[in-house]
Amino acid sequence: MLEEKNTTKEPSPISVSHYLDQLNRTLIKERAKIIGEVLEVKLYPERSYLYFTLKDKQDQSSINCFMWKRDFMISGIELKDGLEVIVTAYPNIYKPKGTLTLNIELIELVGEGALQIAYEKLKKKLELEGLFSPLRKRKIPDYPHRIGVITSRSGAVINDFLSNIGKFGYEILFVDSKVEGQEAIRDLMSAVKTMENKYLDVLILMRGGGSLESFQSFNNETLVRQIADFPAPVITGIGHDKDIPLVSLVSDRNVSTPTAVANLLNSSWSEAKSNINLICERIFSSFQSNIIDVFRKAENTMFREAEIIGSEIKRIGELLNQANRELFRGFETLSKNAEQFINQNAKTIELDSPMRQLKKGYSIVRSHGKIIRKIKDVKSGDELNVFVSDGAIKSRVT
Amino acid sequence: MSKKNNGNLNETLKKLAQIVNWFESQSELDVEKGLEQVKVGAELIKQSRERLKEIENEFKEIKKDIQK
Repeated sequence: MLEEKNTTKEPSPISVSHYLDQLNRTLIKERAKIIGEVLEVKLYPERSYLYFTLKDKQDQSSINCFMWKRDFMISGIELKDGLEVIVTAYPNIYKPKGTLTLNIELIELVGEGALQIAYEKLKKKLELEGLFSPLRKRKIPDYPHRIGVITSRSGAVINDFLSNIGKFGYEILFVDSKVEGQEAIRDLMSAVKTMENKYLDVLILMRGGGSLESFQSFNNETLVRQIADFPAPVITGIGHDKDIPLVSLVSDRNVSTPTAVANLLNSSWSEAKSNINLICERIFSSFQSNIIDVFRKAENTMFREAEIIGSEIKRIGELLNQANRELFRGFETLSKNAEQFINQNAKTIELDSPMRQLKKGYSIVRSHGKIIRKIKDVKSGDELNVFVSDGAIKSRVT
Repeated sequence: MSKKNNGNLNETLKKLAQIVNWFESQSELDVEKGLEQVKVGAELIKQSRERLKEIENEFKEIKKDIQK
């Protein structure tokens, strides 16, 4: 309790350094957009920062300004005394001197006239460098597949683009970015940087129409150079009123609307698709006429073959009749021959028959079962059987 | 009606031709063998005629179809 009382009543002293740190922590929250004239520009070519004074146009109010060269480059403005600008900045106390300084994050030109002059100047410079030359333009590849898209997530542009991009199997990498006014520049640069190592076939940068002022970020020198050096071809679809944005001039292909960008990407695919359809039709029609040809030939062959088969059937039928006749004739001949043979043999047998000889008066003499042909075949006393036509006569050799 | 029963016409015709040849070249008077051959030959002729009829009918059907 006692300690608490002491601290609320009497804060313990802190060092100057700590105090200034504390103040700066509060001051950083006082970020504002301030309009004024540039004076006493100190560019310090060797250093990474610069100084100038921002003075009120109406009275003598002024404040010292500090800016890192890196941020200054991004702003893409040429500083000179008397130039009217709008700065985005927060206050800060420079500790070694205790002076109040404005830390500038961004500088923009004021009014269309000033913007117009800056635009023309930068355009001329880049033109002389050859950055807009048609010779530098890269061809948008046929059949792009991997597509990087940088635009604002909100707004009609991305919807127009997506509803017009065909279904050709695209791989779309989207990076959301502010596209309005000078504040968009950091977003755009980091979006392009992100896309650099994504192995894209093509990068697309889009936004809708607007005043020259609202296009400021698309006239930024650093961004223009980033687009010029981008590893893949870049298509811009950045609407404009009068002056074409420098980013559109440096890109490899510039079209007016998100729909036109989508159509451009679709074109080679659509063409391929209609070519394939055409080829399909051609294949089918030539195939069809070939088929008709083959059928006609087959039909003719079949008719011819049918005739041949018909006559062949007739021929075989006749062949069978003939075989039938021959078969029976053959058999008849065979049996007739056999009959003849039998008859002939019968005759021969009949002619040679011993009975026929016996009838004629010849006889056959047998002794002991053997036919006697000579005198020496028998001896005295042998029994003889003499066969005549109607029987046998028994006798004896004397 | 089936082709199996009546055999392949070509094969049957070949067998028939062999039998006819046998008769033509016959010098011996083997009537028994001759009778055997006639029996077989007659059967082959019957089969062939049936098969030929089938073929002819089938062919007529097809001809009607292709000439429609």
